[in-house]
Amino acid sequence: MTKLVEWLGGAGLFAGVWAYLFISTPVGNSSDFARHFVLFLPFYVLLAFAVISVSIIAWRVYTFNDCEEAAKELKQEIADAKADLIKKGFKLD
Amino acid sequence: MGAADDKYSVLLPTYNEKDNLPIIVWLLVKAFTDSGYDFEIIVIDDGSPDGTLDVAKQLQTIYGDKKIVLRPREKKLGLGTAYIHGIKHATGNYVVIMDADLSHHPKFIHQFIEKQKEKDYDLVSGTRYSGNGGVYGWDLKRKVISRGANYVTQVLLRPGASDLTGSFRLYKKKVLEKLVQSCKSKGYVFQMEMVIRARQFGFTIGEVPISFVDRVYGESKLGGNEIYQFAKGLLYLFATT
Repeated sequence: MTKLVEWLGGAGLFAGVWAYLFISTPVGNSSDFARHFVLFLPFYVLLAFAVISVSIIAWRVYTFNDCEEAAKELKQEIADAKADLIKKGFKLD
Repeated sequence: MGAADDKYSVLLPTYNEKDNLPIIVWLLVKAFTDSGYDFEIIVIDDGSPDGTLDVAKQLQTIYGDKKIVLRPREKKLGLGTAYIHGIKHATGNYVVIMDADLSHHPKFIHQFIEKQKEKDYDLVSGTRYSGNGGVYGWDLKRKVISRGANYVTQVLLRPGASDLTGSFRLYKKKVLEKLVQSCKSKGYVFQMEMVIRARQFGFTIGEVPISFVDRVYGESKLGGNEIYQFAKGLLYLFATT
């Protein structure tokens, strides 16, 4: 099963549950809130997903390590390498 | 096969890397000499006009043709075929693939090897996205794109590896042979497909955090075209695997 089919299956399942909830929520003044909530449920789910995703990405960008030490170390090693290679008879441009 | 018989073939595909090649080779020789593992470096130069091959020949004179193996090709033919070409001539039972532009430091290979031996992993992937891994030389925009793309990939493909577009990895030679033959993509997507197919075949994947130091010499690329290619590849893998 491809990931696409998995997602379509998941979406179908969600649509089914949502349709059932929508149909079985009684119409009437007392349950206007419930009906409204069910009607916009897919939108709330998407919104929640978007907020969570953006938060996760923002956190990961914020905590992305800057490897200053690695860059410094590499610079030193490049100098060492050049010196050693020249000693071994290598001709640098 | 015991540890004493293990040999690591490092595949270095190059195109206009005359400044970086001597440094990366020097660092590789140093890293392997320090760790004591048997190795060879296979330079696959795709007809660089800047004289990368001449530089490689000089290095072969210094380090010997047992350690530096030259397998040049006439012209630029793509990464997948470079690996196939390199594997054909590899005498090791393990293969390390990495970039020759100094963004991947050979000091991590020792950790790859230790990790591989821990659970006899079929492949070990370097990762910029977990543990002590990280990058140098990236601005905020680049970080956001990178993290965003990685997040979308994780959600859509659930690959079971944290760094899909990285190209610093250790493979069992037979595993790499099989994967290269079954991967059709190019560029960034090729590396992604390698990991996704590895999961499909049931190969085990270990991960080692690495620091990625963006190109010291030469230019690094991440433009609209790269992002488009990435999105296309992601959808291709989403729909077919």
